[in-house]
Amino acid sequence: MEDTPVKIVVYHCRNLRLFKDGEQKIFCRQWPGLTMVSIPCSGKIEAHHLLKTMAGGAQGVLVLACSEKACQYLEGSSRSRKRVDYARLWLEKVGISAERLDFVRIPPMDRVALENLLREFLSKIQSLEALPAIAKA
Amino acid sequence: MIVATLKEIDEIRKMIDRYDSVLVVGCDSCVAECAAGGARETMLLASALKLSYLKDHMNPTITEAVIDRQCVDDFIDQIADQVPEHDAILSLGCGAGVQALARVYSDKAIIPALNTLFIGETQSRGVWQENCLGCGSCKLGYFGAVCPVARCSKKLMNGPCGGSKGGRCEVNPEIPCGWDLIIRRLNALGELDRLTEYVPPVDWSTSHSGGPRKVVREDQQP
Amino acid sequence: MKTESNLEKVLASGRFAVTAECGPPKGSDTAILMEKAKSLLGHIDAVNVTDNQTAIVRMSSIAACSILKNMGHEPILQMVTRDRNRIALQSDIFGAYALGISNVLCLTGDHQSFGNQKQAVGVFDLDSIQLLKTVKDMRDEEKIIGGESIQGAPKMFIGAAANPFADPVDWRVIRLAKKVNAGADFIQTQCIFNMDQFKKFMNQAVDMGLTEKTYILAGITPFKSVGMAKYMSDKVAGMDIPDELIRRMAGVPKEKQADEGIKIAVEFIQQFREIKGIAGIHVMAIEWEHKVPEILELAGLTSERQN
Repeated sequence: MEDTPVKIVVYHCRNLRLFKDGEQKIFCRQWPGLTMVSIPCSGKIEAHHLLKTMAGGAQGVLVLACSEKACQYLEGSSRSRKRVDYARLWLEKVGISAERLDFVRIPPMDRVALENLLREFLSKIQSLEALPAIAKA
Repeated sequence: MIVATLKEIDEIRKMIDRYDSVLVVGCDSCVAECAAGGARETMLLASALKLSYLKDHMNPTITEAVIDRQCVDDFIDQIADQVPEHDAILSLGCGAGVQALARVYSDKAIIPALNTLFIGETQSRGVWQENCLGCGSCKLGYFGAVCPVARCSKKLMNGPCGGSKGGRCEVNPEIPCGWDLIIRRLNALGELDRLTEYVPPVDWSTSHSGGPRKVVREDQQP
Repeated sequence: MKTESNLEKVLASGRFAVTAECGPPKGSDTAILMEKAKSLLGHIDAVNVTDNQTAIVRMSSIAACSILKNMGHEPILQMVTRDRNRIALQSDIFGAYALGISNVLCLTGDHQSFGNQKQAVGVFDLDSIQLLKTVKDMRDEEKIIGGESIQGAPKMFIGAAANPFADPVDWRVIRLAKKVNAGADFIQTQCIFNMDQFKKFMNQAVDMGLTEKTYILAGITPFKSVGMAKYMSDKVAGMDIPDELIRRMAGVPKEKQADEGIKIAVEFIQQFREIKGIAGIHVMAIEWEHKVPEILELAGLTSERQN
């Protein structure tokens, strides 16, 4: 298990401006197993996306959002919080630790904060018993 | 619209664990509006089931499909190709959808994923209110367009009971007193006089009390 | 006289009438029922027998009425529309009258969610006013719902309840008028604790001429303790208990609270007698039936009866 990188998916709001053109790919190379997905607003993410991502083999999913006040679409950031909570509820229903799913508001353009967060999240996920892999039909 | 909620996953699992392949079918009309059985919820439930089986080291085939209306054959036919490949259909349709699927796919097990609740409206985002019981003889015109049959917990026809307090029902303060709503509406319309007349016993034979109902229109038939 | 009801005779004579409530047991033990009823015998004009009150399963009201009748009581059969459809209600009216029960109080009943059978279907085929009109038509027109004629009309003296305190408050007297127009011979009110509001309600009823068409009996419930007063205020549907009364109960030591409750009830009864349009009282001494004679004695109603 140690050899296989832990699959983590991060949905991040485009308005956080974490990466300039082309930087995201380079960043991900430094983090094996990491997939970063840029979305127009964290509010676009819904519980079914998160569950599907988990069912697709992710060991953990992070949603990165702007602060509530900074949300370009006014309600996006507060909505996504509720949706992540709802998805966490579903994880609990199926007996999977809700810790695998998290929602974090970070300052814009703060790559250091991002890296600290990823380190923390990764170690948390590694501390949990790995989910069985999905056998592809 | 028909308002429903998703069943708990444990109950669904109890009903479908015996099958090796399940076609999860959403319905993109009423139950999509009430966020119980549309495309989103179909993806949510199918994913949750996959995770749930994963957790138990089981690996049934779970396929998603969504049709516009599970209560109309033209739409039901759209999944005809997928149905034979599965042991059962898990329907996110209302009770009518589940039964229509069972009629069309008569040799297939059809399992409900929803609890169908009522005919209602989207009162505000995330809030659905029951306001019609389908009694078959609409009397809203006499009651300021607020239904005493559906909105009063006791179906009272002649005014509020002694349990109405501050506009709230005695059953639960979360329930607005239907009669309080009726009186306010008619008062605002200047039509309170409609309520002073005695309303005789309701003819329930047009409701479900008369047995399962059916509408047949020859002009609409092929 | 519309009926052979003794209660009607008393009310028609102009004497201040007294009725009291007697709840049947949760079971078939007639001894409990008879014990309760014995303490009321000879002190009241008629006894209300509750019908699965607050939706808790108890001995049937008709059976209990019949037992009380045999003891020499004048029973008032309470009937709620919560549990029976129009077939059962009309059939039970026939049966009750055949057993010699000549008073009925038509009610909708507390919702089943209050009781010990919360999963039950709520029937509510008729509402209380429709039941009232149904019994009146059976008696006066000799017809059941739908117009079929009957063999042997139940000559029942018909009552209804009124709650002067429920909301919308302005509507309460209109609802009373509807009940009177539908044929209510007498009205028993919800327990009165808010005297000011009750007086307003009665003024309206008098102004509308309702007290000339029906007899109104004011409801009274003695508090056993401050705990009971608080419980009723918080938990019982349709109650309006002013804080002042609760404070008064709380202001006396625990062992004196029952006496204080009785004192309040007596004061209220005396005030009712001063209100125009009140024809009597209806005492609902919940599981305290044996105290009723004492309350009536203190209110000066016992000697009046005997004269």
